Amino acid sequence: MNAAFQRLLTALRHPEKMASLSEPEWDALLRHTRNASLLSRLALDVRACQGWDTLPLRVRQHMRAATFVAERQIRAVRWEVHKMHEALEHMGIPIVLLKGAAYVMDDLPPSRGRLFGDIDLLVPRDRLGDVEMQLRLHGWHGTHHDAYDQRYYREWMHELPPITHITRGSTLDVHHNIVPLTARLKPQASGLLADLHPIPGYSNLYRLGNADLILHSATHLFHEGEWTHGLRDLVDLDALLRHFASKPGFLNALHARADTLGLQKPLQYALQYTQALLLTPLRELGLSAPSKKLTNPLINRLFMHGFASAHPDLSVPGSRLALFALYLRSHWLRMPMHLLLPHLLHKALARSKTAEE
Amino acid sequence: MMRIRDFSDRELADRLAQGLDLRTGPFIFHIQSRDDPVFSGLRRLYADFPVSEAGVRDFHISVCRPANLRRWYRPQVVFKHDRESPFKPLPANHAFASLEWGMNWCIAGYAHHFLTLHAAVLERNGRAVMLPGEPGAGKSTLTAALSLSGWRLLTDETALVDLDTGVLWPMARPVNLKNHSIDIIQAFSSDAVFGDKAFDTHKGTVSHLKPSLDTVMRMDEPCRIGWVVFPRWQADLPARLTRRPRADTFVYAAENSFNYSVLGETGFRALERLIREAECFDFHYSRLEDALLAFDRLST
Amino acid sequence: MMSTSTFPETRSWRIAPAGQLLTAEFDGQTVVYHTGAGHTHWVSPVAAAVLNCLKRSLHDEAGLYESLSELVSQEDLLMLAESLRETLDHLKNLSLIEPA
Repeated sequence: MNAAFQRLLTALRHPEKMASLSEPEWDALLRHTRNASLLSRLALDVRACQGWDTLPLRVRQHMRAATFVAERQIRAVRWEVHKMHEALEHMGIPIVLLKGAAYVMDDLPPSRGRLFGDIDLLVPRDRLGDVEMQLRLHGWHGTHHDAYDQRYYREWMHELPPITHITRGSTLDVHHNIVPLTARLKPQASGLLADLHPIPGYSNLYRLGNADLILHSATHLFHEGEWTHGLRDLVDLDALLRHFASKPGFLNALHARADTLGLQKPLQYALQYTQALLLTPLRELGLSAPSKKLTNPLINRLFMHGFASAHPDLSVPGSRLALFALYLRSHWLRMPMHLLLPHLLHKALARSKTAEE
Repeated sequence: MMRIRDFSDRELADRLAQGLDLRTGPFIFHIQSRDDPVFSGLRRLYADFPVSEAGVRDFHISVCRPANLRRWYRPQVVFKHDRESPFKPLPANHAFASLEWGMNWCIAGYAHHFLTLHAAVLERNGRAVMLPGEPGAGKSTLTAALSLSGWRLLTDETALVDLDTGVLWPMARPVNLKNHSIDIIQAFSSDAVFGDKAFDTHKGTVSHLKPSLDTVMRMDEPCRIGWVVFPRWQADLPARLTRRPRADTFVYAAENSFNYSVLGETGFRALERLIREAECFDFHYSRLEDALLAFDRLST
Repeated sequence: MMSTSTFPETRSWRIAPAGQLLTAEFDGQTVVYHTGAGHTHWVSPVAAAVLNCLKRSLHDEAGLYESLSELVSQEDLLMLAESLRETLDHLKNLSLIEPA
């Protein structure tokens, strides 16, 4: 870990200590946190610990700007979910919001200062065709027309290709399974849906249960191919753990669910890395901290390169290879070998074709 | 305080190669480049601008040759903001224009501690006139002419409205002119100093007008809005100033703001305050002299 | 005096949720912006009055007509009845209001 990465982690761990940073240090930290999609989150943390007035003027200005962006994105998510619900409500099917959209619609702590991309939702597999049609009628159109891409998404990743709204530009990712069925872990998708929480104010709209939110986020992160948002996802996990730890029954549920669903490994990673990088107080929260290093050193190095990929300045030598290894790993986890190699080949050919144009 | 003109050519080139901290009003740009057009443009057009001591900079930008064949063969330059390239590479002799467009892009994309509007702003007698940028309406030519006729230039492109007080903040940067406008302004005033022309850009032939010393020296002086004027040049039209409804002006400004939708209620209220304080007009003209007269009358 | 039977199929309306409706008046004209829908418009006086009513609480069409008719003269009442349905549809298309 280099000094810049260390400073970024310190900022996340101890926002109250920001007064001691020099201007050149702030100059770098602003860029690094912004790249990591964590500037607005840091701004909120500094405000919360009364440190706002100690900041240099330009830092306050950029943090204020980042806060506006984060607030705007929350408004946008709320509107998009409202419109999506309007389109699908009459179908009477359960719709589960995943990840960021769930955090916003149920006002969970990770939504503070967060930046969002696509809206992920999960619908029953047997109604997928109708859902797609209703969404299209309301302005969402698929952008991946290539037959290969269609098959990749529909058959292997078990989602519709991302669909974009024709005037608003928002994107929905419609899944019918939480983790692709070809995943080596083969978690019971139906298991993840056993404990749904309704979203207030909207009929038939749900989020995953508390323990499952964490397991899903952890599985997603530690199976990830693109790690630029890795640190942000870890910050989400830290926020969820702190928020739910005190809720009755949560701690037992977390480990029990991990066992039932076969997701012990991602949970292990989540606990290990939130504690190591963000100093999540696992013991205080009642969570059993990993007693020994269960992660092999090679994977640990890969993950650390992944977290540091939030900005070029944070990486140490070897990161390009490590990130490529993580990319391969994520595909290996999702697809069996006989599908993986042709897929990677296809992607490589498509990339070189675009480069030539 | 050092200004660009205080550096020798060697010193300036060295600084620029490492990264030069240039201040334009509220923004400090850390600019890194080894390209000649960037050097010449800064040397000539930004001569009076302050160079900041290293601290927190608002934007880290660079204009450099790519690390591939196009470094030498039909050379190109790439604009980067914090190591990312938001644009396609451009021909190397567009390097200075690329820097200017890149600086505008940074402000439009990130400076949400202001309400930013696509408009020119100039000040006279303590009040500002804002000229929203309807395409093809001749706004840039008029802006340049006004800036050479006793009006202090705040910006030719991006109005910065203070979210808390409603004042307009200057940047004092060179005016971007294209094609025929360059000739018109060159003929208009012998005081006009231009940078090198860039040919065959996506806007045609492009050049930049050096801001006056007064404009640059007063880059930290904000002012309040007086008027919003929509200029429209059309051949053979007598000069005419007609009132434009404020509600209509508000909607236009909102649609031509870079970050109104990001700012939500804060942006709405900031724009409301601005429009309420301003008198709003449409202005048609064909002769530059008529326009200058009309604006002079407005400001007294 | 028009009776409420002018509006046989009475729908209820509300300001579009998932956002805030902001308004500003300039020289008798009203500008509106819904922070969720994201667009800014200026609207007719009838539309502005409708939005003001709906900001306070949801209304059905008959109720809206009642509230608005207190603000207009007798001659304008007829115009109001004709334009109310149109105005509501227009505001719905702008995503500013929706059926409650």
